[in-house]
Amino acid sequence: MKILVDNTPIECQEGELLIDVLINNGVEIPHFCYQQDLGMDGNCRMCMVEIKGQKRPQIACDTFVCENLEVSTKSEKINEVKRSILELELLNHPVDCPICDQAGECKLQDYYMDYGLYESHLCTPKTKKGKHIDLGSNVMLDQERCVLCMRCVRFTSNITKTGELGVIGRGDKAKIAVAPNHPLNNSYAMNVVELCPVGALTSKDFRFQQRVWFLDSAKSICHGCSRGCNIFIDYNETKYTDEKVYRFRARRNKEINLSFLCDFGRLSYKELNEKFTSSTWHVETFKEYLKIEKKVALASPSLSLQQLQAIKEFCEKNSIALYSLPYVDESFGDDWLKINDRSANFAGVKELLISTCQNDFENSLKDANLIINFDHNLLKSHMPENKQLLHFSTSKCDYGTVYAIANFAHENGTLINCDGIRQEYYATKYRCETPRLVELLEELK
Amino acid sequence: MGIKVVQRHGGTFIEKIYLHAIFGGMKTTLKHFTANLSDASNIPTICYPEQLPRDITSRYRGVHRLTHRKSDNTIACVACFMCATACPAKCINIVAIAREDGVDEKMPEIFNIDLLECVFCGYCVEACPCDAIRMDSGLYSVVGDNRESFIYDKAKLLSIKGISKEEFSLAK
Repeated sequence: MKILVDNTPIECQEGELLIDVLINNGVEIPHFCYQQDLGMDGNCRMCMVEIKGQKRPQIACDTFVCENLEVSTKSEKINEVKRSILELELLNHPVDCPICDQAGECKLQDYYMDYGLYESHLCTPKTKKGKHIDLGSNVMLDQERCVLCMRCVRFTSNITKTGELGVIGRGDKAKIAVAPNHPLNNSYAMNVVELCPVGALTSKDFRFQQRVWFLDSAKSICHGCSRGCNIFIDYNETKYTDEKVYRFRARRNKEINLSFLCDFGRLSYKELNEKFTSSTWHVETFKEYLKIEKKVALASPSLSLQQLQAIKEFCEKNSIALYSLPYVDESFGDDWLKINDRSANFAGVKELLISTCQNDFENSLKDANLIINFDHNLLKSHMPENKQLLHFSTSKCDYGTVYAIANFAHENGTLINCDGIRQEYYATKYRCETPRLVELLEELK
Repeated sequence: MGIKVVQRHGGTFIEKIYLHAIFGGMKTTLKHFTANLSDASNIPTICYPEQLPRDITSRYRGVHRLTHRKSDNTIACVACFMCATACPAKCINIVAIAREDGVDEKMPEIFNIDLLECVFCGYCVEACPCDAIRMDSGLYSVVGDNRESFIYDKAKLLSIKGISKEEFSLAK
């Protein structure tokens, strides 16, 4: 089926929402309340389009496509409509962009530059509402900046079904609020910060840390559990600061996490910034270690397929017994994104036929003289007696000799998630100070 | 596009031998020479550094300063990073923190300008939405005996006084 948008034919399916067709085909359509994974609400009226045969402009988020639909998104008349709607949305906005964390990724700023550019008609004082209210779960609310798109309210009532957020008051006194003594309290709460198209909801964790236009993004995958949620790693390196990861943002994937992340995964970026002491890498010293009889290796199930493959080849060549044990945390999972299996690539471990038997590993550990740990958390804080312990690690280890390797922000790789979906992740653009595991194993050949 | 035809000069014999132009130039030089020889008090040249320039106005782009709020004499800067974004030399280093005294939400914890890297272009002053950074200090000479002494921090920038009439930030 074809529809005509601004005189360009666009291919689409019967029964799709017009706004989805426009967004998926890269046609610019301003909107606040519509979000592809929250569905339509139709309260912001920003997505107005002209439809041939209709008397008045229609909202694209409540229009289903049909045969021979002719849509105009750019005419002079429709821009005038959008300008008027935007002026109403912005009427009581405090315009405190200098202290607002959303500045730079704010829809109000973008649309004002695209469709607004009017002089304010307001001659009475602006309505005052609450500012920097701590809602709990790392979320800060500024009621003056809010455009009442209800995305956050719909998220807590339809998706998490916890219903903490609501709207109180009417007219220009309407504001988002939580009930007294019932703060925002669910393990997905920080999604509302990302859903908010303006600066009304901001993250306490990211608050004032960095302006967003200084950040670069890398496409990556959360390593918090085996769900494999798609993320953007937002990071930068400036003249005065080293490379630092500032936040994770959800990257939309319809099959896995939609546009959402759990708070645990979202805050797990902090591990990537940790600094720890390690030994200097010498190939010859390491080869001396390899002369020890009876060796056992333990690989982390969160390493990528490429890394696991290199480890497997290395272990076969040096006759080292290789094992990998899953990270299982029975208290972690829930009925949505979080899963008890906390290893990012356990399906990959199985695919490469690496032994995952706990008993076999413990038996070979008893006999072994040298243990090589490839970033597995089990051996980082636990020291088996009378053995040599070598770590290739991305984080701090309490015992043994530690060789630092690059963490997943500095690696390209492939992971297989709990549903067998194979996904790529990509490194940040800055040079990593620590070497990559695959390169180290290459040197040992 | 239209073409404007410009008439070329220098084609005549008098112009080609240059003597006319040379004597014309010498006439001006000698006029100033005799005028300055007879009355030395009007010579614009000064004996710097014994004599100091007298023509520094508040529009002169001197060393930066951070202004105060008129209401409570606290720092006017809200750490919005506009100056650091506009700076072509990347010489401004800001670290922001939340402001706890209720005057505003955000302020700089660190605000350093590296004057050795600064090109004194004034873009930071243009970019500032709060009139918090100005270059109206009238300071044209910065002296130090090590590199670190040229990095002016928040306290130093706040302590510099301006020579313009407006002492405080004019931001609303």
